Amino acid sequence: MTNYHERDRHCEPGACGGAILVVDDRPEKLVSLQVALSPLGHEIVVVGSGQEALRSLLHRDFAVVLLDVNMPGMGGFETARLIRQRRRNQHTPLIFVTSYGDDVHAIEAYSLGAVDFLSAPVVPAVLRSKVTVFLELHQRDAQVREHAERLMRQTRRLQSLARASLEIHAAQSIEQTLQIVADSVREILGSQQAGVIVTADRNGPAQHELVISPGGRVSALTGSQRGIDLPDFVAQLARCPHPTADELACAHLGPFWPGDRAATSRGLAAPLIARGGYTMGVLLASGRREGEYTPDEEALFQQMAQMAASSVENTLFAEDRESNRIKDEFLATLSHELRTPLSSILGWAQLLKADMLDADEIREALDIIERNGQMQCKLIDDLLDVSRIVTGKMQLNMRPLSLTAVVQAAIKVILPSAQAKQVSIETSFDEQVDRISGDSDRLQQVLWNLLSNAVKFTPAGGRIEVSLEAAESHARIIVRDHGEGIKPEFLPHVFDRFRQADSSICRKHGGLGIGLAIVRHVVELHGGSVRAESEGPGRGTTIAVTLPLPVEPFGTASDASGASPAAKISGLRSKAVPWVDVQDEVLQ
Amino acid sequence: MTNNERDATNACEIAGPAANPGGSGTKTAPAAWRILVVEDVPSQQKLLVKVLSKSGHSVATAESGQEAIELVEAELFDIVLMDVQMPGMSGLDAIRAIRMRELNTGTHVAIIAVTAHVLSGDAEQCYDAGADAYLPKPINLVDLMAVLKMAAESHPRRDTESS
Repeated sequence: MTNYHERDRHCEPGACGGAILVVDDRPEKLVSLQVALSPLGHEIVVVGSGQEALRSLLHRDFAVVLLDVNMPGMGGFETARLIRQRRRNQHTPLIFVTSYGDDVHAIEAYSLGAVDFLSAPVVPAVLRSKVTVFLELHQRDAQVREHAERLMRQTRRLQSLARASLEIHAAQSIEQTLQIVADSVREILGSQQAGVIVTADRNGPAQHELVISPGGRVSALTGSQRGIDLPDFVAQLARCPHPTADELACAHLGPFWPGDRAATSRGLAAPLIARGGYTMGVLLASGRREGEYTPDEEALFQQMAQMAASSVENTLFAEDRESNRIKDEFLATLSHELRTPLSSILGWAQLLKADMLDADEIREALDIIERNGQMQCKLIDDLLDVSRIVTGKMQLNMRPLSLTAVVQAAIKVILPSAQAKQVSIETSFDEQVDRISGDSDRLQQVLWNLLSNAVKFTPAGGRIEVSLEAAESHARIIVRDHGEGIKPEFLPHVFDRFRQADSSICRKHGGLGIGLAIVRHVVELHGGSVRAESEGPGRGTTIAVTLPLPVEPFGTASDASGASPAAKISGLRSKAVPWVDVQDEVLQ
Repeated sequence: MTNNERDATNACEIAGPAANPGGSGTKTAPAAWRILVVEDVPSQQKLLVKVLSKSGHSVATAESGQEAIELVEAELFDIVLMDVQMPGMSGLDAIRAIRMRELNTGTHVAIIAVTAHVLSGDAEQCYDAGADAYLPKPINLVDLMAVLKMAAESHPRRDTESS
């Protein structure tokens, strides 16, 4: 027997719902059943045996199966039993058709999961109405399933949105916020590429941040530099929510937004609107490779744009607040640091005038006055330096100098306060990297600041190591202490202006927290860099200042190390002078 | 008043009873008080101790808010001079703690807050914490003596049975 598939001309495959499988070993029965069912307009598949029925079911699903009970070989009931064994077909409606009409067969049929039992002669209208019930059920089933799947997809998207929202909330910087937004858009919508442009109007020229996913942050764009009119572009995109792949990959963003050439659908663009109502940026998604974005997805996209906008605004706001808080704290500390020495100076002066002190006390008073006066001087110098840094007016007096001499001079100044705490200073100098061009006073100031911190944060009896070594084409000065260390959260901010690790009330040591900012500025003016490392509180701190060496061999022919010029030129590294306790050196 | 005369008057005012036992030409000589100086900066602490002991008062010192609380609990003082900006526990917190404990003992030691801050609201902060008076830095010694007198006289030490 051959399979015979009939399709109604008016019915597109799948469009009219499920198909009917008719199983009977007698061809004339198949024909008559087919004829009876064809007015329903559904696809009818006829097979001549139980085995063929099973085979058909393997390939596709049917809305209802009409089974003849009496078949040679595998009978109807056995076929039904086997059909039911398949998980997929456990609920496929089975209608038995038979010549016998007795109840025994009916009971057995129902126990096998049949939904109905038709006994011959089959009345076509009855057959049709019974089958119709199951066809409609099947259709409704399919609709419900599709609806459920749509809801599932939407739920998943909303979950992703909620997750993205939490991540955005936890973002520490604008750049991180934008990256999370771009990544989330890609993940949720399945776009090949997503990006965010934000024009942050800070105090200064407008900066444009572009963050793409995948890819990360593109270095901040400033419109004029790149010949792009970014605000214009952003406004244009904001007006056109469905840019084509070409429009997105337009020359404006050039190499930064290659776009997805394989995308077949249009992309998405939504403006980021700040609270004031102005457009502060744009969220982009490239078109997809399969299918357009649904209205649900577009709505989601809009929501993400809004989230990005408020998050960026909040971050900017928080940064401003934080910055103000730091400045307030600085002023409070400044007030204290300036007034305390003055209080001592004036107080002791008053005592001196009141003639209340004996000879020893007078000497002590004068000592205190002088010391506090000098502290005041240093404070004011530091403040002036900060002022010069801020206004960009610090100038260096560049001369040839010896780094060893500079380091040793700074050590000499710090020695008394180190000795007062019994803190020892060990040194090691590589004379190959001694001569550079620089401002000797400023570099000494740098070293003094680092040493002063090292002594300040080292407990009594501790030690500090200072070394000057070669590092490729640079000279590196390292100041290492084994004292208080720096908390990991603070490490990236250690060279910031106005920052101290502890707020004013809880600080253990005095100081304005500007020393390291000055250090960084001076070192950078020399073309160098400074780095801080610490394993954490109590684990000490290492500060490394790296300064570029002059390109040509520098200095006079006579070298302290005695190394031959030939050795120097061939780039041989000299052995570093072994650790030497500096007190001995200085006392010589 | 010439400069010399002014200096002499100041000296008398600062010096107090120890330098002017006769009391001639000075204001009413105050009694010798038991004063606690709470200050972490050494030269500042020394200065206050010097001034106060030269003036005939008996002085104890503390370097931190915590230490101050312990000392106040251990013995009775007439006056506490509390520096507000200190490492660890701030002076204001120490004042608050002392006042809390006094709710149990029923005593009230005169506390003068010393602060370098000049932001408005600073004085209120000190009073809110429980200070009886407030002195700005740099301390003017003449003002110091005047404030001490006022504070001690408005909150005289009361001996309790339990000490």
